[in-house]
Amino acid sequence: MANKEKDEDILEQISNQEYEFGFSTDIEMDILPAGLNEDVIRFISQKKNEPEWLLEWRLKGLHTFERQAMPDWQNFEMPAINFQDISYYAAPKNKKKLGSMDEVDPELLATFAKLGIPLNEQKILAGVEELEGEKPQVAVDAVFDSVSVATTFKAELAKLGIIFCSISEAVQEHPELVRKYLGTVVPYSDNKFASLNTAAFSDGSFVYIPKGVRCPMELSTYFRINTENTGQFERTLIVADEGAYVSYLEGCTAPKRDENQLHAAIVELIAMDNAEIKYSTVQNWFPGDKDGKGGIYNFVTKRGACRGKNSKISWTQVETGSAITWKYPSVILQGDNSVGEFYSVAVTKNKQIADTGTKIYHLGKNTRSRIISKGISAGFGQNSYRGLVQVGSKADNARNFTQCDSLLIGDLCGAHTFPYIESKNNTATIEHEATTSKIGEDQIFYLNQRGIDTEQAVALIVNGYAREVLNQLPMEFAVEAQKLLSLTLEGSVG
Amino acid sequence: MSQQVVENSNSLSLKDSLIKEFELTYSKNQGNEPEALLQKREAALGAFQCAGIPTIKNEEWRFTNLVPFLKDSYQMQPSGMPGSDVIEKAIVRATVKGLDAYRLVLVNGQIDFSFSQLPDYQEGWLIRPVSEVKGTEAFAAALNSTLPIEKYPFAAINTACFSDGFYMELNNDFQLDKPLQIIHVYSDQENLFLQPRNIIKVRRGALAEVLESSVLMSDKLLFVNGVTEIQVQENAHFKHAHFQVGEAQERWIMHTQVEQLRDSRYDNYTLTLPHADLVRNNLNVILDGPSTETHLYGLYMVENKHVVDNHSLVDHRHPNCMSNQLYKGVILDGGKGVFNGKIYVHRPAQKTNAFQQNNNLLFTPNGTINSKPQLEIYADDVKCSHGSTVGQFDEEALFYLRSRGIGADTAHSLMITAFAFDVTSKIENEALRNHIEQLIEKTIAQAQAVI
Repeated sequence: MANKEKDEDILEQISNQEYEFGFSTDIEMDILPAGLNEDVIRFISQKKNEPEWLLEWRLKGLHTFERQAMPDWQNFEMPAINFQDISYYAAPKNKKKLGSMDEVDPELLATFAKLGIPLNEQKILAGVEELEGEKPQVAVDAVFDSVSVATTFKAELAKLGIIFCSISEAVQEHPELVRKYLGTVVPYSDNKFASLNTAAFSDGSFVYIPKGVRCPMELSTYFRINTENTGQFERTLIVADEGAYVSYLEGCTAPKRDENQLHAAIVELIAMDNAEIKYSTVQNWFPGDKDGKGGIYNFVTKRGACRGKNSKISWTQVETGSAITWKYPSVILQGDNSVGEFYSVAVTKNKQIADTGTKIYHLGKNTRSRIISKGISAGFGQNSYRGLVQVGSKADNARNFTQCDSLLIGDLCGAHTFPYIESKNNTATIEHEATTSKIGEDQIFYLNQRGIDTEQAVALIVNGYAREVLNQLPMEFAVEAQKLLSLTLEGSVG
Repeated sequence: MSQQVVENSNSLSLKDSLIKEFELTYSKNQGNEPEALLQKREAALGAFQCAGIPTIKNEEWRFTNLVPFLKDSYQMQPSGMPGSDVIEKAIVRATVKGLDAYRLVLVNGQIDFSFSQLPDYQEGWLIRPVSEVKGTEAFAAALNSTLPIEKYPFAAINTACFSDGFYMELNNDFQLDKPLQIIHVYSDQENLFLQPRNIIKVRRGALAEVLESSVLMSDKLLFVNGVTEIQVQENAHFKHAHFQVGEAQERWIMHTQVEQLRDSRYDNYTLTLPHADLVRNNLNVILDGPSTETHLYGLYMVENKHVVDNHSLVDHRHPNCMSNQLYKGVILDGGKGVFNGKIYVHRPAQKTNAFQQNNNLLFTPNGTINSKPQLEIYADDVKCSHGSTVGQFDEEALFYLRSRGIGADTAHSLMITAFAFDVTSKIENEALRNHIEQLIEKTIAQAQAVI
């Protein structure tokens, strides 16, 4: 079978495919020596000029972290992570205001260019003052290693009363808001990685949308791990007050390195009455090479609380990177009539592992949730969906629909489903369905017949398969995500 | 914190009495049993001691808290045998109307041939007490051959302590002409903790249908920790139905371990109706050869703070196997139902078709259902799916019936019967099917009387 040979060629090609964002940038950094203890936490807190309560909270997180055991329920062997080998603080040194683009550290600019950030935004991110002319579309907060380097369109957003800044700035400028909401969705003792983040988080984004305001543009964060032996522990807090709306995007990249790097982030979303938050992620951390060497350990806690009536939180994620992805964006549906959504595409190839899914807690009356999860495994990749739908005894008329499909490409990968369904209310209606299959030979044949080669056919089928989720992404991201998917799985033949 | 201490001391007491029971029976067994069996028993005790009685921290026991069931003290051996009038009454209670079947009676886990009705012909099949066959090397070698006891503490302690049960063997190409009904009669003046071990071997090309049911003839507590090992060899077909209809003082932890060889077929029907206090079924089907067929049907109706927990594993190890699982649950007043179904497809098991469905109906506001359908797949050329739903009565269907002059109770009853029909209609034997349908109707009527 000549065809088979070709298939093998193509498969080889994918497995050898280079990671597009695998560059590293040599910028002078402030790096704390590796290790984690009270002094490190005090140093970070002091460096950021934090109030006493925040330091105390960090220390609580640290002490809980030291007590907690590593999670052991996931469907893969937890790697041994030496938390003392990681540096918990790294920041670019160059922070003074600049007059024009020429003065900007060229390395930093090159990094932004490679990340695909438009020039105008590059200017702002690099710290060049003033920006005129073009109408803004996306406001960006770039987090470089542990520190937020710059935030764009702040002034414009401030006119509407929207606060969009790094969380360290928010601590200085809006301490009352931060104190009121920080840690109320993900408590410091939630899990080992959440405690670690609580103790050591160095920066992240803070968004507050005041009552009745609809955020006119997409807010976005770029995360990048750059320095060797550092971990990234950012913390995002988004609060949508009554009747507010915001759509938030998150993108991640990291350079290629032989060691595994740790990323343990926390995202907290809070939606009040009639508010809506849409949170989209395109996660493309360095996945390790084809032998599974290197790559990011992505252990993330994301949770949203629909506190108010008629509120809505929607998670959309496209997961193509990381050596290990361990994340379960959750929604707590407290308010009556609130809605939670979770849309996910997770791709694993080579030796990548993804154990991801969602948790939805129905507590209020007439709450609804919808879960669409699409897993794609190729090579030696292992893909698990893990989900919980819980209906409390007071959640009358709760409604859930869950669909999780898995696509297998090659006979050495795996797809797994672990849904938990727990209902204590007889008026709840919960549906769960899952399927696992490979790309049908008849589908490939159909497309071949019409002159589409196998490589394109697979891309077409995978994109069609993931469409339901990709459609949920904001336009700018949808295109990128689609490209990323095609690129990741180029030519895989089932 | 104080509660946890109490929990520990309680489970310790049962654990200790089980270990004591092991020490007692072990000295008795020495000399009667081959070394290989004694070694297996010791290893099993080690596994049990290591794991202890599972708590809700154990993922497999997350939804079923055993603590309330461990408070009582039990005798590990029956104090005596019930009179023949008691056994006769029990048989009448277990009889299925219109079912033409052979009968095997076990009293407190031991075969009583005098009340059994077995075929006249001697050739082709064998039924013996386990106490009689366990002395052979072959028995010891085959014991727990597919059952990893370190994962199942109750099967482990059963292995360590069992003394009796039934051993059934069907020869090559033997076909049992009538179904066999196995009636387990339990009766004692004291609280009883029994650990029967049953073994069924269906040899190449044989065909048999077995129905198991049990009757408790005393007002004392009964805790059964049973293990049944079944091997269905090449081209054989084994139909296995289990009726679990009990009294409120009954607690059951039943482990059924099935091994299927090439081209074999195994059908299981597990029908759990009230009122047993605790029912935990572990049903593991290991597909140890290609091109097998497996059908697992379950129906559970739970009421009044009782717990019914169905755990199953279908282990696809070879190509071209088909498995189909359908479990339906009706949660009546205050009951708790658990379903945990796992399908595991190993890398060589290409061309696997594995389907699983679990539907639940919550009849009253205070019931609980926990459902966890689970797929683990390591082969790519497979078709696997699972579905799980939790819901209540369809208001429109109810309205349709009510608007045609059908009372609320009758309408509910009709709808539950229809809900259960997907499972009951799969029972081929007509007498059995009628019997279970009547039991379902009776259960609904009782539940409605309570409400």
